[in-house]
Amino acid sequence: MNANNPASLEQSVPVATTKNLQLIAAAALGLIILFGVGFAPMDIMHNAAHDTRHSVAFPCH
Amino acid sequence: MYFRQIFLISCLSALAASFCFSLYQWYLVNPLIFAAELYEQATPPGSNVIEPAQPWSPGDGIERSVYTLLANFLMSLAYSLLLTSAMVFRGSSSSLKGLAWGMAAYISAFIAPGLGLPPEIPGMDVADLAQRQNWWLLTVSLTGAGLAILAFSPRYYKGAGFILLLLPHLIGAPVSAVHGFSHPDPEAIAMLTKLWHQFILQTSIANALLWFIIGISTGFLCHKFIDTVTPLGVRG
Repeated sequence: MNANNPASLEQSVPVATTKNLQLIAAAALGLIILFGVGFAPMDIMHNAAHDTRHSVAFPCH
Repeated sequence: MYFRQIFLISCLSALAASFCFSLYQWYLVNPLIFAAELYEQATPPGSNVIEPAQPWSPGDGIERSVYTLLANFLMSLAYSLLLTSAMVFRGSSSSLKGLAWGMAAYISAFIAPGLGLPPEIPGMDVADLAQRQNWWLLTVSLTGAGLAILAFSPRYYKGAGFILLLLPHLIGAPVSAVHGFSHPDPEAIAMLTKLWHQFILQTSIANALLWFIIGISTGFLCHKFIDTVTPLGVRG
């Protein structure tokens, strides 16, 4: 009897789901960072990233 | 394991992209921003308005450069994370596919919003910030979705892709009542307009460079570190 089979069968379904979940998590992290650098309304954040915001043509000021 | 790989790939790609972008920006973009700021800070003659307390901002020179470097890296990291997630979702990658993704992202994130809201230099009179940000987000999302439909959907649906590409421009970007520069001196306005045109050209090149490097490097690294490894981390 192969003891590994049930375990690999159990895992075969979640792999696709967990792949998509991880991709969504990575994209969400990207969006959060992008918001912080490019869109956060706080003056301090704006001033620190000012030249970057202008250079990549984010709406500024 | 996908998350970890994507994060590491994005960090490497962002390091390379932000380094080249920062060099280009330092020599060819920042001088235009600094020159425009001189006009922005000049108080109009005859005005004795007391300025409100200014919030913190990095001191000119090394401090400002370090914050710009950091912001460039974070922005590149955010772009790389988004591009890599989308590329891995679609399947296998290569440098060439990465380049195509990068150019599509350049059109979505820079060219399309730039058609309605051209890159701005300090001192310009522009429409309400929230309205411009909303239009920017709308344009970037719709252009990205439109290009994805054109590239991946069956031919029958491709018309919808064109509609999504055109929609934000049919809605129209928010415009200011006074467009351009409100500086009192006509010579200054002529100078600022010249700076602005140079700025549009240089930022277009700088962002093309940024997306070129992000696209090629994430495509290459995804192929090397994700495609060749099976989902369970067992080498095939």
